[in-house]
Amino acid sequence: MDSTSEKMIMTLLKTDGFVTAVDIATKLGVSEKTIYRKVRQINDSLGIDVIHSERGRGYRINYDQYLVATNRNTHNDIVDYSPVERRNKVLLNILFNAPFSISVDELYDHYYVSNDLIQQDLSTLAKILKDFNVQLAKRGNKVSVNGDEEAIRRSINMTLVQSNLMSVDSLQGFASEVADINIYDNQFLTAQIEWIQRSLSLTIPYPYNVNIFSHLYILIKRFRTGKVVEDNKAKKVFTDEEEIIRDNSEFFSVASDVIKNTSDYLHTKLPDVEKYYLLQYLISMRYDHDVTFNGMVSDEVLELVNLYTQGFNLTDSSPRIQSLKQDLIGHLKPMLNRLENHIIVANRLLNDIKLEYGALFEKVKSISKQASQIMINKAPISDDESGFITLYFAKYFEENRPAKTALIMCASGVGTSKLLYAKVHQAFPNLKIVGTLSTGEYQNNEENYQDVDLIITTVSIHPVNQTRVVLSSAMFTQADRKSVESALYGT
Amino acid sequence: MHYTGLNYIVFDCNQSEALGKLTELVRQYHVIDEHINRLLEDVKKREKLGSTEIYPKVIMPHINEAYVNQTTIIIMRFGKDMGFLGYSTIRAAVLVLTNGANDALAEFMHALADPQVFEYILDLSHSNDDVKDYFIKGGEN
Repeated sequence: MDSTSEKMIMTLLKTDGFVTAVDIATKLGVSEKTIYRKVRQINDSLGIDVIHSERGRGYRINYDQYLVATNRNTHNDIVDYSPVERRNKVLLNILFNAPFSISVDELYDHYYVSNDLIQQDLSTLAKILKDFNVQLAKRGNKVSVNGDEEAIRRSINMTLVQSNLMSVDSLQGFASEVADINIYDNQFLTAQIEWIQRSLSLTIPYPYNVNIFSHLYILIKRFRTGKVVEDNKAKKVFTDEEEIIRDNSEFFSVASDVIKNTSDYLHTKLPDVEKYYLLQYLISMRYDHDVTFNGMVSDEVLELVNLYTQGFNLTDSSPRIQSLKQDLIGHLKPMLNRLENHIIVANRLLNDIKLEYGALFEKVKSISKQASQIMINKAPISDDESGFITLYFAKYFEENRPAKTALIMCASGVGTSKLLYAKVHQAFPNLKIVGTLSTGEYQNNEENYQDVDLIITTVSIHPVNQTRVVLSSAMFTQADRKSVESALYGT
Repeated sequence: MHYTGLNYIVFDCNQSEALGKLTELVRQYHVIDEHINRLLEDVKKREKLGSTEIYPKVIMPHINEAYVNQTTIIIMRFGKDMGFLGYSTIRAAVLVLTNGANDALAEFMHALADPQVFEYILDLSHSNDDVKDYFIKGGEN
């Protein structure tokens, strides 16, 4: 079905009574003749007259017949957007166009929502933007935003994150999620990431590669779609941050190169502050490197590392604590830069982390909250950031778990126990499985297995020596796995 | 991956003929010569101790008895959900008959940790001979 037919159906669906051909034609910007023709085409294509006409009154759609004919509840992809998705798309459109205004009709052209809903949307967007020091202005039928460039970019970045556009694990994943990145932009942006990696002889891992890619995408689109004003604040930022630029001269040189490339690509002279904005991203990423941090770490970073480790009651005498601290320094050092510069990272693994390491995540989150209250002039540590930190502790605790032993059992010792052996070994590679036995063999030699931490069995058994038992299905489902994990490690 | 060194019997059947066909083939291939009447009894006894469902709709009844002549894997394919050994909706049974654990059996069990094996058995576009070959060749069909 073509777009005029779709719009026509949506217009009729939104109206209870009849609508004249003149009104529909005016609304859709087509001739009355086109309306007559489209009505015929729609009814023909659906095999039933879902649109009825009455002389002097116009057209009306029979909704029940329409649903039966189309056998679906929604008409096209556009009306499938949730309110949040719709608002995010509208918001991005307004922000990218700043400071230019854009008509409400144009913004909501494809969403087929009522005026009341549009007003509600705009009111919600105004509240969201206020938190970023950006004002939503509505004059007549036109909407625009006012705010300094940094605030506008931060709002765009937040909206991209909330739209899950940055919850991807690769540059191409991001490019395919964002509908308006064309092949040339994609190639150019990918080349810039490669340029940065080559120039600094490092590999930028997820999610920092996606963050830099999206930063440059926002930059390009802002200069192309809207108008970027280099305000006094931006000029001042550039002069105020000489020290950071001096301390990171190698990174700044690369940032300058990339901004020069982007200027050439856009055929526009970009303001110098863009070099500094990009530098913020470069010093806010964790990258694969050989640097050890001894003697190069600020007190602020060390205090934060200690806050987390002490939160878990770890002391300098804890095993492998130095290795954990090095890992945390490597993450927290750039994280502080991100917080200072309000750079948001999306953690696509967050839900998995919450599921897999729920208690650990909650603990990290509470320490993060404590840390956020102490830190000055920094954004609070988000759940996404806490999720990344959780992974370091999860790795540490898993590596430091004492080796546990298990015995696997079934009735015969040759059937489900053998299968269970393979599955348990896959799921718990560090678990020492001392044997697979039949229940009879075990009962006859129970004294030999007194030191075993756990018995995993597919048939019921009650050891005399009170060894812990997990009764498992032969399938070793997720629930069985959780039971074993809980029995072994109490999680 | 290799799970050779075992005997395989693969057949399909419906609910009414399942047990009859099973005992007939076990006898025909001399998996059990004496005490054949104990086979079903022992298998049912094992099922009473705990479920042997190793994959959705696939069970693995098994016995480790001296009257078994040679370790044999019998794969029964039912084509559709049916009742068997007290289960109500089963599509296949992987029956393991042995008189003692051996390395080949351990390899076989290890292979069953991979869900692909069951997908292969349950896929009716694969003939019984295909399934047998699949196991003999070690999942390389």
